[in-house]
This record gives sequence, structure tokens and C-alpha cells, in this order.
Amino acid sequence: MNKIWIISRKDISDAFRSRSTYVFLLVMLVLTFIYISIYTGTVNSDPYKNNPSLIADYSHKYINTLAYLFPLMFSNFICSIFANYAVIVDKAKRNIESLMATPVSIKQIWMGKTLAVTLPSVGIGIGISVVSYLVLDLGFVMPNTHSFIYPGIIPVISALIIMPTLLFVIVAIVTYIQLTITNPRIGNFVFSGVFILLMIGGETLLAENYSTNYLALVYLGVIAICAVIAYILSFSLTKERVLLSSKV
Amino acid sequence: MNDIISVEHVNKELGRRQILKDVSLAVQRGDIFGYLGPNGAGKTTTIRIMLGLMAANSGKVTLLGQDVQIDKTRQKIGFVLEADGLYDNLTAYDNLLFYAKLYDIPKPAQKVDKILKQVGLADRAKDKVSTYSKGMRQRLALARAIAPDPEVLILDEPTAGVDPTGQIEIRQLMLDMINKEGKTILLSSHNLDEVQRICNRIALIHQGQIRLYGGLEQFKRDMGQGGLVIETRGMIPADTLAELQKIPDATIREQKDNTLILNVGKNTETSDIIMLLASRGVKIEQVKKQEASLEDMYTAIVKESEHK
Repeated sequence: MNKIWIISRKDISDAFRSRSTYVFLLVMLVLTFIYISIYTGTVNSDPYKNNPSLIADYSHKYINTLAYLFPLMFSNFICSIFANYAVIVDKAKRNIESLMATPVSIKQIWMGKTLAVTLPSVGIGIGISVVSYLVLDLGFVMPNTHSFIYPGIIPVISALIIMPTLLFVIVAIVTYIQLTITNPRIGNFVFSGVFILLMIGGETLLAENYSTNYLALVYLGVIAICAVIAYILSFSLTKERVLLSSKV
Repeated sequence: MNDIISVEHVNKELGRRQILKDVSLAVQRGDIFGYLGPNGAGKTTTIRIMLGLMAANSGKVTLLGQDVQIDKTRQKIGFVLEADGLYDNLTAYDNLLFYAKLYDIPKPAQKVDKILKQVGLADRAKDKVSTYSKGMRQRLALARAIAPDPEVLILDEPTAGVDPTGQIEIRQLMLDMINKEGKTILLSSHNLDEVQRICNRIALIHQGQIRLYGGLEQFKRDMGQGGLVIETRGMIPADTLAELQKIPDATIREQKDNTLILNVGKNTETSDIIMLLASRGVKIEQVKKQEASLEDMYTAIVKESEHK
């Protein structure tokens, strides 16, 4: 476990040395305004306009939906930048070869790089989600409802426990793909794909005011499937496979 | 256990290409083993199998008596690969610290300080590796290799692409490791001069097969005296040259102006050559012996293999 953590820490600190990481953070903050504008657009239109109880009900559902969507969405968005430093650059510069020649197993390398992508992405995803939630609640919900609305317990558990676990298994599979294919950048399409899916789906859910509590079950189901896939893939991960895919 | 590295009847295929064909060699404790061969011969593949990065299709490879596929085996192996594996965004100090921690080196920070001094990079320790020259990078890669106090060093072309000054510095570091620390080294190199200077045993691989294997001094003896350079006053007549060719194991390598270079074998008597020339009226100015060189052996073997 110690060696896994050594690899993760190195990759994480490498990513934070790059300016592009901070540019991504700024872009994510800008994206939150899109969702704030969806909220303000809805509560300022019929039948919500001037109806505090209806707005309160909508606001509660909206905040719950954000708790389900935002952390996973933003985490996926920023995964690609951490994956760049954890895997893509390492393979391009053939540093992965020297790393594999040390007394570290390929599975330890795989887990180290998975954590190097997951941990900061989860941290940043949750952090930005909390900031967005506070801005929305304090700046827009309270003036309309005269009360601070808290998300439900299931969305909070989803945001803090289920989402990080889901992201971990997704990242594990994507990291496996990036380690074993010649063009690891293709793996980043998975992160982008999940992000876009959540963004479009989220906007639909929020606009149509659908109930989102079933999302926790969906996430748990996806975790189970991805975990099985990752377990099966682990048997085929070898140093030779990684080496031969690194354009030697 | 005298064999630090043992490679027994290893075959390796990649796709449909046979990269290694029944390769066998052993590096003994205290050896400075030169591993030579042209590009694409199979040197790097052999090294990758030794380091557990690839698996042989058949045969057996052990390091320090242990299976190379076991990760812990590499705890006592230091290496420098073709790609140095250094992280450009990190300082030299941070690069070494990272690897030192992976090797579970006790008090890694102190060890890193000591190693950086040893390789002459202490004053650039806090600089990013991206600012380093090629020679400095190779010195840092060597530092990483020696950090875990390895029993054996596997070096894949450590002086490739380095300027002459850098090559001298790196060669001196290797010699220090050999002389002061008694390390066993496997050195893969294109630099025949370097190998000839520091290695005691060699293997030459060509087209995936070992063509030459054993002690360097023995090979030189077997090759004979090497060459004989004779400077004359005036050209040597053709009939005299024809007579020279009849002397056992003597062949004309080159004749240019007043200089004749002969390849001579171990059965050739230099005095026979001198007496023949003198009896034909050739005025001899100077006679010099050329020691059999690794380059001669290498060229001869590679040519012979290609003609087969």
C-alpha cells in the first residue's frame, strides 16, 4: 500500500505543478453558472413565480439533483488532466518502463495511478460542488424561499461515498485501457463521455423536475458492474503488455 | 552461487518475429560483462527479460538465483535503460527520493544527498531535470541505479548520445563502482572502445543469437597477434606480395603508399615476414604490431553471420 501511495503522490504533485490544471478548475467554476441560470430561469417563470412553497419544493429537488450530479460530473471533467500526468506523459516519455523495472508490481502501478487520478478529482469535484451549492443556496434559493435548504441524506451519502467509489472503478478501467493501448489519450474520451452524459442528463432532470433518488441505485449498479470488469481485466495486465503499447 | 545473472536457452518471439533464439549466458560475481551487438540484434530485449519487463517464451532467466518475474528480485538490481526514466518536472533530488522510497531505502533523504555528491550533481540537486544536459541526465540515472546498493548493475547504453566529456565522466563513475565497490555490471554498449577498456567478459549477439561469448582476453589470444604494420621505403612488388600470402595465417589487409598492413594469426612468425621482404630487397623502415581489437572481432563475426 505504501508503494501505491508513493506513486500516487508523485503523480498528483506533478499535475499540480501544471498551469493547465488551474485553467480546468476555472472552467469548472464557470460551468456551475450554467446550472445556476437553469434554476433562476425556472423559478422566475410560471408556475413558480411568486409561489414560495412551490419554489421551496423545486429548490429541494434541485439541490438533491445537484448533489447526485455535480460531484461526479466535475470529477469526471477534471480526471482527464490528472490522467494526463499519471499515464499519458509517463508513457510518452517512456518513464513507465523504468518504473516497472523497480521492485513494484504492475498492479501496484495500476492502483497508484488510479488513485492519482481519483483522489484529486474527487476532492476537487466535491469541493466545487459544495461551493456551487452554497452560492446557489445563499444567493438564489434563500432570497426566494427565505430558508436555507439542505440536501437529503441519500444525496449526501451519494456525493461523499457512492460517487467516489463509482469514480474509482471507472478510473481503474480507464487507467487499464490507457496503460495497455498505444494511444492512451483515447481513454480520456471515456471521462469526457461520462461528463457530457451527466451534463445533458442533469439539465434534462433539472428542467423537467424529475425525482432523482433512484440515481443512488443506478450508481450502485454501475459500481458493481465496473468492479467486476476491473477484476477480470486485472488478470490480463502485464508489464510486457504495457511496454509493447508504449511505442518502443 | 557465482552466477549473478543466468540466462538459459531463452527464446522470445514478438508477433511472428523470433527476437531471441536459444540465448544462453551467465554473468558471474565481479564480472564487468559487455553485451554487444548491432541495432536490432536483441540486446534490449534480453535486458528487458532480465528485468522482468518481458517474459521469455521458453528458457529460464534468474537474477541472484531468483526468478526475475518476482518483483522482490529487483530489490538488489540497479539499472539504466535506454530511456532514462527521469521526470522532467521534478528536481534531481525529488527524482532520486521517489525511486529511493520505491526501493524501501532506509533514511532515503540522507542517501539521496550522499549519492548526488558521489555523481557530482549535489550543486544541481534542486534544479529541474528538464534543465539538465544529456550527460547530467545519464549521471543522475546512474545515481538512481546505485541508490539501493545493488549487487548488480544492468546498464543499457549508458553513454549513448553523450558528448565525449560526459562519456569520460560516466565511464569514470562506472570504474569507481567496479574498483571501489566491487559491483557486478552488465553493460550493453555500441562503444567497442569502452567495452574493451573496462569489460572482462563479453557476449556478442547478432540476429537474436549469441555469436561470441566468453573472456575478452582469451578471444584476443585466439584471434592471434592481430595486425602487423610494415612501413617500407618504396612500394612492394606484386610478386613479393604474392609470396607473402603463402605464409601461414598471413593475409594482406591493406596496402597504401609505403605502408602494408597484414592480418596475422597465432601461427604466423613475424620473422618469416621480415626475412621474406628483406630477401626480396624491400627496404623496411618500421614494423609495428597491432593488437587484435574488439572491433576486428565484432566486424568479422557480424559479416560472417550476415553471409550465412
